Amino acid sequence: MNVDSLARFRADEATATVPTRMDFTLDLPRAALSVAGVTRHIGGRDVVDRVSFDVADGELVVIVGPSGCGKSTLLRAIAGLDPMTAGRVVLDGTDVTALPPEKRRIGLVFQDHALFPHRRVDQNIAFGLTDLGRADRTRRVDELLELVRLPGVAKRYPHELSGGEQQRIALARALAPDPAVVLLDEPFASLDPSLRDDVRTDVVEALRNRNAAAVLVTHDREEALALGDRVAVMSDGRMLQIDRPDEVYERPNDRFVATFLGDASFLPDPDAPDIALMVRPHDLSITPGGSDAVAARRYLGAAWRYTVRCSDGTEVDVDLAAGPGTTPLGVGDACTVVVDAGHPLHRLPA
Amino acid sequence: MNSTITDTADLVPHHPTGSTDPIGDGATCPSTVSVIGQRSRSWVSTVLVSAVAVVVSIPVLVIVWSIVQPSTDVWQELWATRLPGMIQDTATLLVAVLVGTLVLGTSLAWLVTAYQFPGRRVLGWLLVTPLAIPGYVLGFVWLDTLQEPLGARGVRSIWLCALVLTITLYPYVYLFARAAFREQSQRSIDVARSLGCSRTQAFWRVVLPMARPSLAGGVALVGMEVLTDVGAVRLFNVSTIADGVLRVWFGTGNRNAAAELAVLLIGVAIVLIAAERLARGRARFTQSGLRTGLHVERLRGPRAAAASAIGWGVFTLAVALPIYRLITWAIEARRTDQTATVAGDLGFHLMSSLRVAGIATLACLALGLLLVAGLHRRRIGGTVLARLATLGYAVPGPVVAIGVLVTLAAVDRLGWLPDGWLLVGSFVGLIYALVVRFLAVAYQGIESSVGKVSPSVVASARTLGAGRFRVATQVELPLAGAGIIAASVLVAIDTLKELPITLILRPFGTETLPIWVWQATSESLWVQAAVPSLAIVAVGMVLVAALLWALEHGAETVS
Repeated sequence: MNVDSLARFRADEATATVPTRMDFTLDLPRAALSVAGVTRHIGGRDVVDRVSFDVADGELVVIVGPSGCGKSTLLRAIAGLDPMTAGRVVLDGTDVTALPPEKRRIGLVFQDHALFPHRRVDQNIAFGLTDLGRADRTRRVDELLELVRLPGVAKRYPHELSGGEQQRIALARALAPDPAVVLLDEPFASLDPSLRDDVRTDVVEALRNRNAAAVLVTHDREEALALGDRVAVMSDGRMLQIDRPDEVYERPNDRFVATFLGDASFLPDPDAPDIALMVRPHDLSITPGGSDAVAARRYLGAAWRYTVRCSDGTEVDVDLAAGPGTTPLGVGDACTVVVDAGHPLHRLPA
Repeated sequence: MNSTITDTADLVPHHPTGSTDPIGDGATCPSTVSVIGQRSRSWVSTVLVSAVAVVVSIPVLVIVWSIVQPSTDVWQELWATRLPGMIQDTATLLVAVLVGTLVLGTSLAWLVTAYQFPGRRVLGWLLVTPLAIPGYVLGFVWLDTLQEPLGARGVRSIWLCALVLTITLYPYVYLFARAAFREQSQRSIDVARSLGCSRTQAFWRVVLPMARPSLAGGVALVGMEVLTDVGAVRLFNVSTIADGVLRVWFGTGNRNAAAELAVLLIGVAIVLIAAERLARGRARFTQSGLRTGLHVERLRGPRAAAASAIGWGVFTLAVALPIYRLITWAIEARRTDQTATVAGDLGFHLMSSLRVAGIATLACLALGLLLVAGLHRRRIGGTVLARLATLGYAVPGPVVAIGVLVTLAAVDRLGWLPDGWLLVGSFVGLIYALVVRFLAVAYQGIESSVGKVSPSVVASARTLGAGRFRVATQVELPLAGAGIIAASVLVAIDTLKELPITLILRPFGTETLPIWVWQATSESLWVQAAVPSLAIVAVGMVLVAALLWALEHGAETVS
């Protein structure tokens, strides 16, 4: 490892501070949804542990985390479908903690869309519009079908639609009663990868058009970074960080957040023993010859991903651009790891 | 659980483990790949299956054909005198029992599925046991019990008869409803609640409508049983069409008149089934995707006590009370001087009953397996053949009996059999009629169980080198086994309690337990009827226990 190269990209002490957990405050115009200290205790364990966050009007917050981290449980608690052990849920300034789900004004979209198979599309969308007259109801249904770009399917049954269309109808149904917030639980997980992008775009656009506040839960980190106005990372029932996607990716406050959102290695800061420097594989480069050695390599298309064992025993991942004419190093070849980030490295507690 | 169940694939009118379709669309099972049946595409299987389908459907077609023949004098006389009353009584009884079983069966199923209360588990099982007690047994127990408070006249009312039939027949609806509720996903309720429905509203607007095909399947069975019943209606002096068929046959011996009257029954049955079909349209009732099961709400205090009381109350009226009365009567019968004859008669009748029910069940099982193997995933003609073979399901017992009688008499007239051999009044004739009536029960149970075996499991077995025969015997049959057992047990229960077909077709000397009960109750000899009734109930209970085991076991292996 070339320590000099590391020194060049050490962050300026003035600009990079080590963040403490959850001490952010954001100036939100008005919180459509405000979750405070929500805890759900099941079987001797806090499946959701003191989670707090706000969602502004028109904002899409994506909660991402590995399966079993409590993100779906959190969503169900916000919706009032499951009881919570502690905490408060405030919707549009009204405390709804004690209200049953039907009184909360929440829209729900599930992975398996949960459309009512015995009702036509228009009857599905109109399900929550019980207090509208017939004419208003029809108008609203048409308007929503227009919104999700599926005019003309009103008289069909759910099983007569494709998976992507079903999911868009599920969104239309959730939006119909004009909910204060829409909760989406892995809405794209069961869609074909080829369809997923289009449906995602349509769904997010529909949410934006309605200026609807929304919370989307996913285990897909790319989806989270691409869709969210803010991204919240959860692990073991705790919300570790919530911030703009570029912030959580570039300035994670926790090693789990850093490695969950993308590959990362941590290098000891030569001057400060309690600080680790986060490097993503594209922040590093290698040159042939030296005291480090290639332990493994993998072709990613755009790059070669090398796993290099450094002379001090640590292992780091390095991406090196691939292309015609480039000759990759082989496993066991001697090399030197060089930091080549082009920006100050992010500092984390060691 | 395989989620590719479509409403055409999952036809289990008599088989409460699956979501259902009230009448068999037969063999189409488009979304599953199965090995059972794939092999048998040879002409041998085609001939065999067609032969079974034709032989089984002839008696029904014969009855339908009888309507084009000119009316007889008896028929005209009936039309002028008793027929309007018969139609009215049949309709009243039918509507009352359908509504009654629908309400009772559905609410009890919802109670034990969605709520937790003391005794819930035990009641979940016990509430099926009225299946073991025939209407004509419960009928005379109640008749005697209510004689004093209501008086001899008041007790013989159509409403009491409807109540008795409701209490013995609701388990059909109960089993179907419970299976349907268990299959539903909590997510539908969650979504409904997020859209402003309370728990109760969600039940009415989502849970119940989605369970409708299953409920209709159960109710259709109840309807068929009501149209078939001749025992309970006779006890309560209700003159239904089925009762009329019996009276015409035994009173005048006129086959044609009985057959024409029987056509009326088929008509009612068809209207019943078509009504639900039409109402359903293109809608589907099963959901794709995750089945999370319904959340169970724990009841406390007075509400829990009320839930327990309802369950135990129904069980007491339907099972505990009649068994208690039957036992006291049986003891009384032992004390009196009939002891010796009763014991001797019991053994004779019991063996007779077991022989009829056993052979009929085995025949239905064997032919059902043959049909499933021959028809599974067959594209051309499969549906037609399956419909033909399962016609008997939609035809009430007295109709089948008269149809078989007419058919057998025609065969006898041809004189193909050796001298002195007659099919009419033979044991073969009786079994034939029972097969016509109950083959559909076996077929649809087997078909749906085999259809539920996951295609990927079959594919895995094939890629692991198992041949078609090995897959069928070592993978599909074991997985479908519980369902097949359940179907067979249902046939056994039905044939054990069967009355009208046995009454009309039994050979001389074949005296089953239901016949004994019938003869004793016709003369209001409750004490004498108690012993055979107890025997039916005892055997029935064993069968119901086997059924419950198979249903439970089937649910485990499928999911």
